[in-house]
Amino acid sequence: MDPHELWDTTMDPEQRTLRRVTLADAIAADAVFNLLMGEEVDPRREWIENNAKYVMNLDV
Amino acid sequence: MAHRRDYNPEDILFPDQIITESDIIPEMKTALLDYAMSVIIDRALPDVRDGLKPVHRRILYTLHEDKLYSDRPFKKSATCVGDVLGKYHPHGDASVYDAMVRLAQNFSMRYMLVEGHGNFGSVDGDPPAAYRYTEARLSKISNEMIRDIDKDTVNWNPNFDETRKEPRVLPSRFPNLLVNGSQGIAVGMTTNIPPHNLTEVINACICVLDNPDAGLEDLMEHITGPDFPTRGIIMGRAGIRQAYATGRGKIVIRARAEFEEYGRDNRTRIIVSELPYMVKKRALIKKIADQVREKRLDGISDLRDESDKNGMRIVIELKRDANAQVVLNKLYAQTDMQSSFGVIMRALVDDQRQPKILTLREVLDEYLAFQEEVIRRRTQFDLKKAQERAHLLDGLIIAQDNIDEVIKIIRESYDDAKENLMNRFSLDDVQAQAILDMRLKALQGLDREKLIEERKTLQEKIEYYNKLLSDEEMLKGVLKDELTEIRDKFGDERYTEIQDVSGEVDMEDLIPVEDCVYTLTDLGYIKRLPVSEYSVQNRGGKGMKGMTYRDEDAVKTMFTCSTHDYLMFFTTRGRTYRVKGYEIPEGSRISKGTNIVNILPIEQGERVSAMIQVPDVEGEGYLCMVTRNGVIKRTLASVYKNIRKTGVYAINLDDDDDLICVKYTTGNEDLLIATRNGKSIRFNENDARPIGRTARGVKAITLKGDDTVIGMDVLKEGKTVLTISEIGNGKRCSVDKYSVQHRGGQGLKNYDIKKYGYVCSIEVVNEEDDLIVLSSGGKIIRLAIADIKETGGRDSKGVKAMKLDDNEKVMMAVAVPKMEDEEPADGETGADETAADENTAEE
Repeated sequence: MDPHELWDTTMDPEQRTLRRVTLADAIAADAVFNLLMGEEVDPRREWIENNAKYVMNLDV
Repeated sequence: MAHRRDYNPEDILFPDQIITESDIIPEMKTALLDYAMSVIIDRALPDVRDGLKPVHRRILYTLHEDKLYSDRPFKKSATCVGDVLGKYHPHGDASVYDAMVRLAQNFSMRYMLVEGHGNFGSVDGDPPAAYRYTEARLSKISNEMIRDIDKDTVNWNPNFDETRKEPRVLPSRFPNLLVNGSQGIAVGMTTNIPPHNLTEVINACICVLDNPDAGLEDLMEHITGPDFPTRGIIMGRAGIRQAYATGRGKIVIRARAEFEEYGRDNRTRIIVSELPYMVKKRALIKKIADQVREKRLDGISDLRDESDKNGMRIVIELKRDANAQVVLNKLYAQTDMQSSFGVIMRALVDDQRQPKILTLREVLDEYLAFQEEVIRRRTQFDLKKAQERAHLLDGLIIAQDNIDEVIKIIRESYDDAKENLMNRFSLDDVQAQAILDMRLKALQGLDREKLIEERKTLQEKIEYYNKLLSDEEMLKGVLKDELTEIRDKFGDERYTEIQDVSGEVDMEDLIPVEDCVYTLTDLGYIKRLPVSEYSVQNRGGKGMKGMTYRDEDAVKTMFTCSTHDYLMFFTTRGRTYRVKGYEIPEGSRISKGTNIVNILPIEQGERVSAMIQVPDVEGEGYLCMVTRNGVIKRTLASVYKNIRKTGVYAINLDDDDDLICVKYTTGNEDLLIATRNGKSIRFNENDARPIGRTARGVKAITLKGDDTVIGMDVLKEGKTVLTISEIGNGKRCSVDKYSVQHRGGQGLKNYDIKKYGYVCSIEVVNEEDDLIVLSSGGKIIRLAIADIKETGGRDSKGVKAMKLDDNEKVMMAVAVPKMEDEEPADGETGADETAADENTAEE
């Protein structure tokens, strides 16, 4: 990616989209972090298996 | 000087820019799901059909595109890696090279898919040479992975920049997933499939084709278990069966070791010639050497690696007195010479959409369904080709039959010869074009015959293909033939031996069940000695040297139990630890033993005050503890079931008190507690209600003056109570002579200490057993308990059990089972002396 391409797609305030990540419920967020990045593997695997069908972007 | 801002920060906020809001929770979820599924599907897990991860598939396909077959010259690995990266795999070069190297390692792959030239690493764990030095090409068997790929047998994906197409799966004409196995760590899930023998797996495939109802039993007639390229020995079939039946199971693999005698004095050494899968030889040798240095492994005098081009040979030389089998068992237990393979047969199914744990049957079914599809699609492709050719030939044959007219039409046409031919002979564009492309040579008679002949064969082929496509059984037959062909070409004998074992393999099975005498000294030296090491002497003998220890040390506890029983240790601080009997190092008769700190993690200043045996920690039994000051505490033994390595608190002791005796009881037994000054009390254990682990306990006996509790035992009907005094007298009387009282009283008189000395030990014994008596001088005597005759009264004197030197006193007496084989005493005592003592004792 050349500098001008980066400008056009990501940097240009006219074109870019910024995403503001907010924290509405710290306790629920903590639970999600624990599930997704915690030490226990089994609940994570279960969650991945149950949600596999909702996957949107695969980095092939 | 500070730089002056020449803009207003508000101006660069771009109030009109697009800002979307997103809560962290859904944001996290989508991000992790995308990542996890990408790793699961496109990196770490193999496809059930070809057993390949994307990187391996891309390597094989690139080598195929570059025509690097096994009959072509090798090419630099750098070229291959570069091609894979540039064409299909936009990732690091190291990941591609590492993956390719593995495909070429004869200790990683049961059947190598890439043939390497140069240093591709070794079973020692050496890294391969860099890719500028090594060369690679496809191996012979890889042709079968690729075969038929150009006949539209598989689906294709565009590559990353959509300039090329790559196969979604390779035709894999042999069952590669089972044959070469797969290991991978994704997110939240892993896969670990062991390699198998090609002949066995193909036979199982054929078995399923022949008998769709084949069960696990039928399959396991063919596939007996994994077959590792590093050979080794699989211990037991239960884990294999479980893995095949459920997709998960644990398989224990051992190194192959043999004993070899060498040298003039026929000493033994252990020769290791095969290792468990994925164990690195050099790391193993280092681990053995480290453990020998740390004294965790004994009996080894030398360790060498004599491996050469002819094969592996690790030499472990043993000390002269070492038992080779015991050393080998320890090597299995404490090093990777025995390792386990946790099978998780997880692969991608449903055209790489779903990760799934599969049973053996499911893997085979998925593979066979895919192979049927490959053959069907190949047949359709061949059919289409044949039909096209037949169609063309039809046109050519028409032209041949009417050649004069054809020539005439062509000559008379200006630029519309094709159309004219098509109109005249009702040909289509393709046929007319073929006629126009004919060479004049084709006009000779021979060529016409050839055309007719070819058309005829084509017709046969077309009929065959059509039949094949409509006949399921016939298609299966073709699949079977093709698999058989591969089996006969590449199949070989199994490498890994499978041994039947009874029950679970663990360290315990490797240790003989043996009754041993355990001794623990005041200073904390512990020793284990098989009961058979003590020989019987006559009563009154001086004893033989039982153990050497420092002058100020003395034996504190001694008992016998099996090497497989639990020993519990209680310390002065009231903590308890638990080990199995065999964990105590065995000593010789005169050795002083091992310091307990090497076995238990006890702290500075903490000493072991009691050592007991616990037959069953899971059961309903109780532990009864009695302290020097007469406190008793009874707790369910199962409370101590999960003692941590670091120990737990067993009793809350008063400051000046010591735990002196702990017994295991069944729940309704009578206890006898005896004091140094000759008192004893008998009460039912239920008098002391069971309490929690860290509680203090209740009063057992009221002590007068300087009296202290010296012991406690459990009373059993038909047995006798043996009291031994400090000056070596022994008295034995029936259990009934002690009447039941209530807990906490002063008790009854047990022994006349003014005449016969302070009470040293009390024990409930069997008449048939032997007694081992230990003196403060370190001497041990073993005599038959029956020699100490049972007397009527509680307070009788008894007989001389052991003759003592001046200033010497009895420290300890303990009953042991009688030995079958009574050898003559080999102690210092002569027969005459013994007889003389006997007389004095019975005056």
